[in-house]
Amino acid sequence: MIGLGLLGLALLCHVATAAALRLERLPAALRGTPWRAGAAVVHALGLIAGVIEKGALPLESMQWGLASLAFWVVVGAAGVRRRPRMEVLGNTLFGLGLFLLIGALVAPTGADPTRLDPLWFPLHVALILGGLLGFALSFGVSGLYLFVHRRLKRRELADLRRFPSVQALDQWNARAMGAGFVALTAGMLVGGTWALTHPQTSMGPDLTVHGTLAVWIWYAVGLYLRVVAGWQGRLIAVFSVIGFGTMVLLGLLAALFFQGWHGFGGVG
Amino acid sequence: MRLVAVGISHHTAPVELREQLAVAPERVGELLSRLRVERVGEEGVLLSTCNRVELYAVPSGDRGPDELAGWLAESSGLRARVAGRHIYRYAEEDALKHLFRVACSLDSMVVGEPQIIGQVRDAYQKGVTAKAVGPVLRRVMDRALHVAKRVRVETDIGREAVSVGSSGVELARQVLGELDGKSALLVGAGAHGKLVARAMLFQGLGELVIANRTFANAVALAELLGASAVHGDEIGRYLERVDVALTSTSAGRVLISAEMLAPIMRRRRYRPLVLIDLSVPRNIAPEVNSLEGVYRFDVDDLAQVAEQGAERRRSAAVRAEQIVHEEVHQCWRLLVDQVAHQRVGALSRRADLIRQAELDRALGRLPQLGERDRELLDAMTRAIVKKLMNSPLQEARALIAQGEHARLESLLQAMGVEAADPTETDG
Repeated sequence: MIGLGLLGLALLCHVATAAALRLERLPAALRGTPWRAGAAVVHALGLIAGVIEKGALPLESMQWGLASLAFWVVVGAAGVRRRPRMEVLGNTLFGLGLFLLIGALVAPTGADPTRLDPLWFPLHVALILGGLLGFALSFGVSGLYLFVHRRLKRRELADLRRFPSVQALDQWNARAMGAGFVALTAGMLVGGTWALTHPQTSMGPDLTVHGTLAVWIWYAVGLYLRVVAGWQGRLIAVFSVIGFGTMVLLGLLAALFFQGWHGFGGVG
Repeated sequence: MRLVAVGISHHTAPVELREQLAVAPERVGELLSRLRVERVGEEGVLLSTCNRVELYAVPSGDRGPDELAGWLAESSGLRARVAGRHIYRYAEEDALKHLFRVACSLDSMVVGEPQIIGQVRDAYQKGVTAKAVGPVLRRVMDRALHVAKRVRVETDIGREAVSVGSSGVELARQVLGELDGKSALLVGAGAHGKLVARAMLFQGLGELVIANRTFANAVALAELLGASAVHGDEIGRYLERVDVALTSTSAGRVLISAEMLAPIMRRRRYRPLVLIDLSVPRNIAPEVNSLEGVYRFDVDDLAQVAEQGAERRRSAAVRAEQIVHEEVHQCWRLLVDQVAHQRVGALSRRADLIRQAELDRALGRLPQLGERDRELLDAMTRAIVKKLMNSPLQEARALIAQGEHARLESLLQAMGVEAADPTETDG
């Protein structure tokens, strides 16, 4: 309970960070870093408390998996924000991190961790979450790409300096999507190997497996279009937004949310 | 403490007068030497740029800003009365403030332009080389450069595009990121095209190709800009590989249409292409903007970016003025305190001189005293003076800390220290 309480407090701290950034009256030095650092520390303490309470890595349930993912997204957002012209992208990713943390706080609690394989399971979940993190970054970057692209095309040029160039956003998108795909593939291979070596586990009609497979196919097609067919810029950004918005958020996460990690083998 | 700034700038004098008063770089050293030899100033730094000629000096004796202004005019062969109307004069804290504003580009024709810092640094260096920079100007110039750097870091004063050239660069960067290693095609030899191309080269553009109907003109411009020249009918071929295309011609017709560009973009696999049309009538059909990967801008867009940049610089200038205000106050206080501490030092020295003179006289009347007795007397007189001076010295230092310089001066004069030498510093 302490872990969850701290995660709730972390959410409030993150929201306060966002508010402090907009407080013009605060001195510049007090607007950003101290708040962000404080919120990240509370978030990390929440995860550590969760580990102590559950006696397992913060990956054993949907709730803790999302909380971990949210942590890395907000920390990454702070890093991105410090780069020139990346402030808006950092803010976009920060918003995504908050969304994931809220998801973690309202998600159903997980299963008994003692029933999970202590070696394969954390690796499998970490890789899958890494893949989702890559797709989440790709989604955020793509959304920003489409926004900047639209403004350039409409020649609405006010304040464009605050945004990264469309070329830089396209490159970030490619990297995030590629890294996410590699991590997801590795995660699926680890999970599949584990399932094959544990024949007593029934695969059954599991939503997570099918959802993950659908996401994998979608991004495989996206990368094929990019590398082989030469899709780039707007086309691939739209592809990423649709992929993450429908398949990941609506499909896979919904399946995870209602079902837990898996619907078979007593996992989740 | 005395500091004077005299000079002319684009604010006060027409270009005809500025060019007459301008000092060639090789003459700066000679002029600064004369400043000292003729006992006009003890220290001096001469800043001579297209937009200003200014002398920052610590005047000699009781000379004032008017005499320095007259000397500056006459040293350029101008009659003081003619130039005098245009020469501004600042003294003490105002002179310091003026220098800081100049170094921070707040007094420039284009507020925020970056060249002025280098020009101030160069002027300072020339002053050092001419041995015309002493303790006051050293501290003042170092501080001015520090403030200029601080303003650059803490405000957006130098970051916004305000000219046609920098606006073109800004738009290209918004699409392509940094221009290092990128390539551009310039069609025509119009003035705006040259400005943008030059600005892009300055930002690291890797390759510039110039196409013109008249090949000889393309070659001449290419030589000027360090680019390569091609015939005007090769535009299509180059559009396939460059990242930016600028048109600046008087052709009066469309040179790049959507029909022409569509197959080119397919062959480019929709790699981004920035088109900047600087011609009126336009050379690039507006419809090309609907093609995938194409970003088209024209002179109105450049003007829009420049205007926004100017507006943002004006906002940044307000913050920069605050920084200058803070720094002037702080620096002036330091300078004044430095001189005051030196005056207090003079009080101690005076007391010791009196002691030494009286001791020498007494010892002259007592030739029978041995070495040990003499040492004893010396130590005794030192101790007496030290004890006597302890209280006034403490009082003087307290007055410095409180900024009570007028009361300090009264105290010092009451103690017999002569009025301050205007050029006196602690070295």
